[in-house]
Amino acid sequence: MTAACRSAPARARGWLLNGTGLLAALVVAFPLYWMVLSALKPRAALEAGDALPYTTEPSLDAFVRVLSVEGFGRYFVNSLVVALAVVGLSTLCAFLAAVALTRFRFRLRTTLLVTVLVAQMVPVEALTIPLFFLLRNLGGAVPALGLNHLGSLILVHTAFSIPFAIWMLRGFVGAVPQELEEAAAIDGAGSFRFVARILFPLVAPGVVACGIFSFISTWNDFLFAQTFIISASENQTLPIAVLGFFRPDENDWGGIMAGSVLMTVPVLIFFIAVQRHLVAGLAGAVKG
Amino acid sequence: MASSTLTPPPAAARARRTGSARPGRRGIARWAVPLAPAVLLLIMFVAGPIVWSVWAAFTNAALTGAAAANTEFVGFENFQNLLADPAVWNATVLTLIFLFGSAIVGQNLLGLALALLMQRRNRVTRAFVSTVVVGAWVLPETVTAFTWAAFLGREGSLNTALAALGLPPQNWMYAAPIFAVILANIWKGTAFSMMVYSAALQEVPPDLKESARVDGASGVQTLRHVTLPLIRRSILTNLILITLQTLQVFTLIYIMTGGGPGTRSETLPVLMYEQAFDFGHLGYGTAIALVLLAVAGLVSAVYVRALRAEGSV
Repeated sequence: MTAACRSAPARARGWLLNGTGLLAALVVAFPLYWMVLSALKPRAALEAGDALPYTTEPSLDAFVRVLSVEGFGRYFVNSLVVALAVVGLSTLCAFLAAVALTRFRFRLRTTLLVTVLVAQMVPVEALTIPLFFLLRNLGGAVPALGLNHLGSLILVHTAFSIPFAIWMLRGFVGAVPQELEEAAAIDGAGSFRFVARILFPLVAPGVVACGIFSFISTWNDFLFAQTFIISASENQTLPIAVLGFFRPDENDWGGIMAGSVLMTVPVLIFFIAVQRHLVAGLAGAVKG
Repeated sequence: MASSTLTPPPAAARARRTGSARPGRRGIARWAVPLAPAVLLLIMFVAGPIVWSVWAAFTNAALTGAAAANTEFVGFENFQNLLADPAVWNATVLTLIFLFGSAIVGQNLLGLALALLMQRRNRVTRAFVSTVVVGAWVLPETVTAFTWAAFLGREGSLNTALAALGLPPQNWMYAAPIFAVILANIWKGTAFSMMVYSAALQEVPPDLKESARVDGASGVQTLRHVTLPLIRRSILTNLILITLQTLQVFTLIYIMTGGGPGTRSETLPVLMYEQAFDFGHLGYGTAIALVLLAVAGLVSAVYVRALRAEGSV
């Protein structure tokens, strides 16, 4: 009897807290909902200042408008090429470095680990000016890696993705028991075969999470794309293309929102696919 | 994780003390070769640019004109100008307001509140809330900026809601630009704090809270005297990391307000970009960047010291 009396207010409190949580989530989700809604509203309704939280005649006009803009497909492909190249390169470099930093003990090891940790915290935005010069000079030697080429974005984002990826993978590689390597060595597997056949599959969840993280930060980048791709509009990436719809006083909100939705979809797909790994990996990385 | 903390076999322990598992040239190659690509990229694109910034901040480097072809060393001139420039002071104050409002108060407290709220809630609620909040975090910064510009603009949804309450509509990016970008940054960044605190709260032993409650402590008292002291490490970590993230926010502000109207939301990163790439004053822009780098360096030094004191590195 007493138990039932106690649990009634407790249950009410539970419902209240659940309700508050869901309400908070709805508030957070509202701008996202508004984005999709504005992308689907007919242009006339948007321009008339239609503020209804729903639309009775959804239209794909805005998406058609965005997709028919000259080169939108090309910008999409550019963004994808850069992001995928960065994922491949940065994950490979970081995985190799993480293995070296966890499997071998050498004098520089701690120094390197601290360097990686510090490098991860450098505000990269503050390096835009020197990077601009570096890439201009690099372009003199190897045009494909210089300003106005996708190579410049790939290089810079690869470098900036590496510290966090090393830091995150270090935990995953460290969790693989040393005994496994010894057992593999007894069975006749060399170091390379051990790393490729045994270690890599074991840390695959970490590798995937790292890859997703690099993908998202590269895909989302605006500043470097804006600064390094100056005159070669055929090499622009998606954020700059969508910015084209954003003009003071005569914004095409439907177009902006449709472009935003298209830009968000790949990120959300990747994110939902590995959300649990990402959060767990991030928590691990933060806790060191 | 547990296996890596096992006592190493004696041979390995001995090798560890001498500093190298396998001495000799082949031993060096074993760790140096896999490290090389990562280290080279970091030297070229992180260390190099930082060193260059230190040099360039003392020159009159420019994008165009005579100084572009013939860059000269000007000593502390850029920094003297910096101190005398009202735009820099304005940007510093705005950066601090932005940092304080959006990170230290907004994201931090909201993240903690959400993490506390989500403790021991049912799985569906937790999954839904964390997906939505973290979803806002992974969204491209440009998209966040567009969405909030639409929301806070003259025809935006906020004004519609205010009109329904009988309040006059206004363009919030003109009326209160710094608050507009603070709001957007809280919305975007709270997920990070929430994740840090959720992870930390999982480590708080439930019996401690239970016994506090048995002793008659209220919810608030338990939070203040049991939970918060236990997670103070995570609070410090979180404050440091979000400070570093917030100091460099550029895209959100640049797209939403462009630093304006006038200079009313022009934080240091926006001022840096404008000086360097719109006005071509690279030396001056780099001096501003160097200030940002120095502040970030100071903050991360505190962090690394704290981590090293715990033996995490």
